[in-house]
Amino acid sequence: MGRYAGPIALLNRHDRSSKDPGPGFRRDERTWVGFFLTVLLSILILATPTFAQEPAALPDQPLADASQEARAQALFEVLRCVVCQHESIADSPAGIAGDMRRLVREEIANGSTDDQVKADMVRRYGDFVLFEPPVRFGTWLLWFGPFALVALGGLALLVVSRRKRVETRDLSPEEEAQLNEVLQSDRFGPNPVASSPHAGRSLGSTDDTVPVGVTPQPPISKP
Amino acid sequence: MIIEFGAFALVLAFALALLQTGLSIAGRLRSSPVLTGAGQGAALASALANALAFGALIFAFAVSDFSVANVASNSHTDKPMLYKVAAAWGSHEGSLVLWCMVMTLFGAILARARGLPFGLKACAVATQGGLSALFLAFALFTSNPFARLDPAPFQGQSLNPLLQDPALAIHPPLLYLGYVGFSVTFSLAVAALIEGRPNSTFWPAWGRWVRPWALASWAFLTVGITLGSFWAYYELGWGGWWFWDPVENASFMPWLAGTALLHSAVVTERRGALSGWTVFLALLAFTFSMLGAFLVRSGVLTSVHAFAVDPERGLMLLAILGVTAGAAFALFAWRAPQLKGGGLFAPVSREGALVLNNLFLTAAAATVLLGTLYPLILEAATSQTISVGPPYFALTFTPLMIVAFLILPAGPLLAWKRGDLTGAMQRLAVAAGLTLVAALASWFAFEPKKAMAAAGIAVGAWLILGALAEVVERVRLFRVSFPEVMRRIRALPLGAWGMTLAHAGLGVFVLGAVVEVSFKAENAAPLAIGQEISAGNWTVRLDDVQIVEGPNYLAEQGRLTVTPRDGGLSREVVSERRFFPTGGQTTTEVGLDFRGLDDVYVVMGERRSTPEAAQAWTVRVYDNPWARLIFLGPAIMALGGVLSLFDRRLRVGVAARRAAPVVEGA
Repeated sequence: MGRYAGPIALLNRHDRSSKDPGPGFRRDERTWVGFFLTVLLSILILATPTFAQEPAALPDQPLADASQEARAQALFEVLRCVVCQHESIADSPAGIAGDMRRLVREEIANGSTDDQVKADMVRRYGDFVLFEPPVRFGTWLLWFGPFALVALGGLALLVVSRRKRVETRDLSPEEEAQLNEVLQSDRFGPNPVASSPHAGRSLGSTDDTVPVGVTPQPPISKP
Repeated sequence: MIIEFGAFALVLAFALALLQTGLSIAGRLRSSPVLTGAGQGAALASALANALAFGALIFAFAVSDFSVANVASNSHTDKPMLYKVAAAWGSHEGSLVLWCMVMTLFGAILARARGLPFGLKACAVATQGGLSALFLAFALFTSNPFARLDPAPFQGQSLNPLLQDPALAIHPPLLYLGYVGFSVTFSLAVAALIEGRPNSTFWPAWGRWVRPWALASWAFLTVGITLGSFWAYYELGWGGWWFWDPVENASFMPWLAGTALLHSAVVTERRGALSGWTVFLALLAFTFSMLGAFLVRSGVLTSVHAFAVDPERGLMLLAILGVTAGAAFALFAWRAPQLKGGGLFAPVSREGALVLNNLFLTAAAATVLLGTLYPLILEAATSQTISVGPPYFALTFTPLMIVAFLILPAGPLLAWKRGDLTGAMQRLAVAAGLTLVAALASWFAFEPKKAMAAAGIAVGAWLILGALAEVVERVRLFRVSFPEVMRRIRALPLGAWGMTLAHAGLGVFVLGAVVEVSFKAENAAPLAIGQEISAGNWTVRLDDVQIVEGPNYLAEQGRLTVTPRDGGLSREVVSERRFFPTGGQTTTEVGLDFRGLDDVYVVMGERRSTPEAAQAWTVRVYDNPWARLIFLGPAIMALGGVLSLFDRRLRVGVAARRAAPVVEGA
């Protein structure tokens, strides 16, 4: 996850690599060379651990045209950063995501349509770059599977409901009594515990514990 | 010493889980309550031993015992105590112990449950013991959390800074209570397949036994996922709350299956119908939980959340998944046709509506499954790589759910067995009218005008108003006298309130999600001290940046003032960039200003110089309107689940105790 990885120098990098050479600096040509070398070296030294792990992305320059920028932002959401873990280039702080954003903006500024931009990204990085996978033979199941499932399920339900045009009926009194007994007394299948002192201290005996839809029966009592 | 004790306790928990299974099976075969009772006792002892092992692990983290490999690679002496303790389940090994502990704990509760028939209970306890034994064996033999290091390092490698957040203390335990809770519905389903009868009395009773477990797991999972989503929202600093990341999907699949299970179990309980399907879902929910564990821990997925990437462990988990789910579904295929429950119903009825609910929820779960696994399968089969992300789910999952949401309010208004669709429509007429008003109002209230957003708001309002319409209908508001309405309100069972809250909460979530996605605004710019940036309805000024020292990090702390653009109260937010020297990682701490339902979400980025100022910081501001509802809605849904759980009709033990004298007196 070390996307922002960097040394402590990161926090005060700016101060150390400041281009202000300080008072009393003689601006002749040799000093300039020395100055630049020093700056370059200090940047390298201070920033190497950062750069080694993550090239610092250049700041994003939004497009001047607001509608073009909005199109770019929308595209960022659906393009995947190619080195990250399931992140769009809109979210990813990785250097390459920054490069990809710049590329998208450039192409939009040059008049490409959204589809052309996407096609170009696919040409560079493969289908992997699209969060919306292309519809083709290999992805039919992916795209149409969910709807096919609903359609097939619905069809199956329709067939079953037509076949089972039987009048519904309530439970017979005997069945209701049986259900009450089950809910009441543990007695289901061979149950040696039923004769223990705990028998009867079990599931539901009052009216409100009987499922709705079943007419409440008085608790089974001795005749 | 305590570490060895913990390791011993974990082995003991494994042995006791095996014993639990063996004794329960033997007791069932010999119809011996002594043996099954001993099996239940073993379940209790196994939970106790597992809890002791977990306690020993927490102790090792609390005292920073770096001679334990797990502690050395996930902890550090500088970490605050909360994160030391929470790190006990921040790693693969530790979280597995937590998983096993929840599983044995639920096994113990199942063993203590009253009212289950002898055979069913013995089989369920045996199955639960078997599951516990498998996962404990996995923990012991592939991921020993107590493995020692020699020589012990002086200092640990600390926990991933992204995880160093109070949410780590509660998010994984809640999530696991949900995931693993479904192991009990799995066990009860296996037991029902073995012990079940094809008569009309078994299945309503079984539906009632399985429903509290499904409800509790569902409620835990709902809260767990929501909390995780909120955590990602404020920790990652991207302003998003759901990324359709494979690991998010892995937690979402059991949730969808569990939601379907809740609804179909109602039909089984009330009507004895759909028994086979309910059993199938009970098996499926935990299968998805195990699939999620496999996906997260095996390294087959690349995800922000994935941890402990190890193919060998992945293979073991796949084997556990294959054996348990394979055996259970084979049993299902063999026994389910013999176990037809009763309860016929007309297509237009409460049952019919719940069947539709299940159709859509199952299709939704299948969509998430396809979207998560398809890239893996396609790459393995054809070596083509594709990505499946938010746009795919927006085109498949979302339309399915919208259709389901449109149907939803009608369901509770239909009678069982044979419903009156026209009548239900008439009773929803007022709600439909108000929904239209809400859609129109939102069309005029929100800028820029978006037809899709107004339609989405209508769906959310429809869910909430539909849920209310059902309550109004039940208490006969405006149709009977006020005292009678009050009496009816008091008489409504908690389960009814639970359903109303859950459905309304879903509507609240939809409102939040639609408004946030449609009208969020974002802006970013480098700011020097005193400069401002605007996004949506808010202006944010950077007041001050200081370097502050945390317990185990160094931070650049920015203080910013958030002011509404049309004037109003200003408030200060704090955003930080934290640098953790131990791992060399930097995290962002988002500044959140909660304004009514809206969030102003401020992220301070890297320092850089601009042409105008020597020192400036990239400040990113998101105006997330109604974002609060996104997290509030699921919380309301979970509350509904908890309320239903306390319905006396489901409180098996308590209801029975109260009822006992009645039986004796009768």
